[in-house]
Amino acid sequence: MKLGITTLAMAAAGVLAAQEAPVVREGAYWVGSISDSFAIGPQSSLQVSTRGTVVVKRGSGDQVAYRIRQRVRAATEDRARAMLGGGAKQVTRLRGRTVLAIQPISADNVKTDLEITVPSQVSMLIIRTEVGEIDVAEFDGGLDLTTGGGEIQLGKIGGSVQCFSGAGQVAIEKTGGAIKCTTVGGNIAVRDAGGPVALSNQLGGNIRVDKAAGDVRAHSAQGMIEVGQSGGAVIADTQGGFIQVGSARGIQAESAAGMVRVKNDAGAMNLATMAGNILAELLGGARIQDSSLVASGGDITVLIPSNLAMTVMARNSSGNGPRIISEFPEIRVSSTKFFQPLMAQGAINGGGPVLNLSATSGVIYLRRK
Amino acid sequence: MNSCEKVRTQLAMLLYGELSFDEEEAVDRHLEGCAECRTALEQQRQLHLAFDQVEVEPPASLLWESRQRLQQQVAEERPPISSRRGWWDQLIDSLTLRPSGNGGWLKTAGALALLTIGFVGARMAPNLGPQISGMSLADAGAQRVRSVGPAANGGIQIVLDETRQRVVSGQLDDQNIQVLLLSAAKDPFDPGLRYETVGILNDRAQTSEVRDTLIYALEHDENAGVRLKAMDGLRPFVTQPEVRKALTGVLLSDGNPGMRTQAIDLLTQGLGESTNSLPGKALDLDRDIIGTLQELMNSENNAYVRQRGQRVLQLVNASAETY
Repeated sequence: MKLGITTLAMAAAGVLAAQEAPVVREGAYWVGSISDSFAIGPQSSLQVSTRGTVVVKRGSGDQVAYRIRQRVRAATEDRARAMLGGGAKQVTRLRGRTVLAIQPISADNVKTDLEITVPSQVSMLIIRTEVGEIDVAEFDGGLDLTTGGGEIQLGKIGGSVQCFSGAGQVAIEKTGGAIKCTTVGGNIAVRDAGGPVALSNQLGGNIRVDKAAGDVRAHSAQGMIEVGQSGGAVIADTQGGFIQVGSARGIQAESAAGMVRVKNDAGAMNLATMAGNILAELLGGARIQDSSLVASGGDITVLIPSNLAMTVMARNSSGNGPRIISEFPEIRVSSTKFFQPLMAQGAINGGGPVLNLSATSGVIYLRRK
Repeated sequence: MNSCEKVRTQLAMLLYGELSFDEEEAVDRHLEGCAECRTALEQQRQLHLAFDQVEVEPPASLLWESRQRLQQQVAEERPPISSRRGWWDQLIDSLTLRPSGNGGWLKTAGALALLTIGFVGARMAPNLGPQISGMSLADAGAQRVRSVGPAANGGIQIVLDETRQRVVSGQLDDQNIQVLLLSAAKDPFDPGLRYETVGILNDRAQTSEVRDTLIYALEHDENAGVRLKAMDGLRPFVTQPEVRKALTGVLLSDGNPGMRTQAIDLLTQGLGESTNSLPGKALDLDRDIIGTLQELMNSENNAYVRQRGQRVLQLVNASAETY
C-alpha cells in the first residue's frame, strides 16, 4: 500500500459492540462494551484515533488494554443493538507507530467512551478524537492530543504535552517537559510545567500558569493572563484583560485594554498597554537589560531596588499637566516649555541598562524599594 | 399652564426618550385625545428629521472666534476700575475672573501668570512644603491652582484643586463597598478590573443584586474572560429562572464555543448521563431549555457543542429537530 503503512504486524480488526457483544441496561441507557488488549514494544509510540471521550490510565508491563463503551437510549434491547452495531476497531503499525483506530457509530446519539491503559514503556501517546473530552490522569511519556471539541484534563505527565481543543477548557496539573496548547475558546490553566510553555486561546478565555521551568508564551484573544513564576522569559499578549507576572527572566507583555503588573528578575522588560496602568517591580539583585514601558492610557509605576544600577529616561506627554514623580534625587525632571512633554532622566547608582518610560495619559512614578 | 401647554413643553423630551415612564404615559394619554398636540408632535418630529439630515462641518476657527466674542463682551460689561486700588488688588483682579474694569495688558499678563503658576505649581507640588511633600505617592493626583493670595503670616496662600485617589476599605457586606463593586463590575474601560471584581462578587451571588450584575456581565461583557468568570459565579444558582434565561442566551448567541460548552454544562447540571432514571422515562428539563437546544441544533456549527446538545435532548427523550 502506498498509504505509508509499512507493516501490518497486528491486524487485529473487529467490530464494536455488535450483535455478539453484550448489551446491558444502565440507568437510562443501553450500554455495549468490548475490551481488548495488545502488546507494545519499549519506547514506542502509540496513536489512538477515535470519536468520543478518551480516558487514559497508567498501566504496567507491555500490554495496552482498552475498553470501548458505547451508550444509547433506546426503547428495546434489539433497537439498542441495532443502533450500536456497525463500528470497527483496528490495530496497525504505521511508520513505526502503533495505531489503535476506533471507528464508532458516528451518529450523535451514540456516546462512545474509550478507556485505555497505557504501560510506561510507551514514550509517546498521540490521541486524535473527532469530538469529545480527553482525560489523562498520569502518564510517563509525552502527549500529543487533538480533539475537535471537548475539555482536556491532564494530571501528572512525565514528558512534554502538545494539545488542541476545538472548544473547551484545558487544565494541566504537572508536566516534566514543554507544553504547547491551543483552545479555540475556554480557559487554560497550567499548574506546574517542567519546560517552556506556549498557550493560545483563539477566541477568548483566561490563561493561568502557576509555575514554568522555561519561557512562557501566552496569547489570548480576550482574557486575563496570569503567570506566577517563570524560569525564563514571559511573552504575553491579550486583546483585552490584564497581564500579571509574578517573576520572570525578561518580560514582553502587551495588553490592548487592561493593566500590566509584573515582577522581573532579569532580562529586558518590554511592556505596553493601550488602556490601563503598568506596575513593574524589579526584584532585588535583578540583572535587567534595556527595557521599555509604554502606557497610552494609564499610570506607570516602577519599583526599583535601592542598590540597582540603571539609567532612567522618562517622557510624559499627558496633555493636562504631565507629571513624573521620582523618589530618586539622581533623576532630574526637566522643566519644560508649555505644552511640551515632561522629561526626566538620570543615572541611579552610577547608571546601567536604560529604562525607557513613556506615558501619554497618566503619571509616571519611580519608587524606591 | 393648561394641559396642552404642559404637554407641548414635554414633546422635545419625549422625542429624545428622556421622559420618565409615568410622564410618557401621561403625554401619550393626552395625545390620544388632542389633535392639535399630535400635530405639534409631528412638526417637532419633522424638525428632528430635518436636523438629522443636515450635516454641518463647523469651521476650525469657530471656537477661537467664539472665545474672542465672549472676551469682548465680558470686557465691555465690566465697570471701570478705581485708580486708587492697591497693586495687590489689581494683581488679584487680573488673576481672577472678578469684574475689575479694563487694563487689557494687565489681564493678559495676569492670565499668563496664572497659567505659569498653574504649571509650575503642578510640577513643584510634591516639593513645595511640608504638607505636600509629606503626602504619599498614592495621595498625589492631578492638581490645578485655583487661586493665589496673601497669607496671614505675610506669605502666599495657594488654593489647589486636586483629583486624588482614595483608598476605601471594608467588608463585603458593607453597603458602600458593594455599591462600588457593582459599579466596577461594569467599568467599560478595564476588563481586568471587571474580572477581578466579578471574582469577588462570585462569593456573594446569593443576593439578587449581585446575581443581576453577574448576569449582566455574562450577557453583555465583551470580554470572554470576564464572561467565563461570571458564569463560574452563577453555577450554584442555575435553577433560578433569570440565570437559566441568561445561559440560554449564551448558548444561542455567544461567539465563543468554550462559553457555549459551559452553558450546556450548567443548563443540564443534574442531568448526569449516568442518572439512574427508569428505562424509557424522560428526565425533567423545562420546555424552554429543550426548545433552546433544538434551536441550537439548527444553528450550531461546532461539532462538540452540537454533540453535547444532541445528547441532552436524547436524554430527555426530545427530538433534535424543530417543527
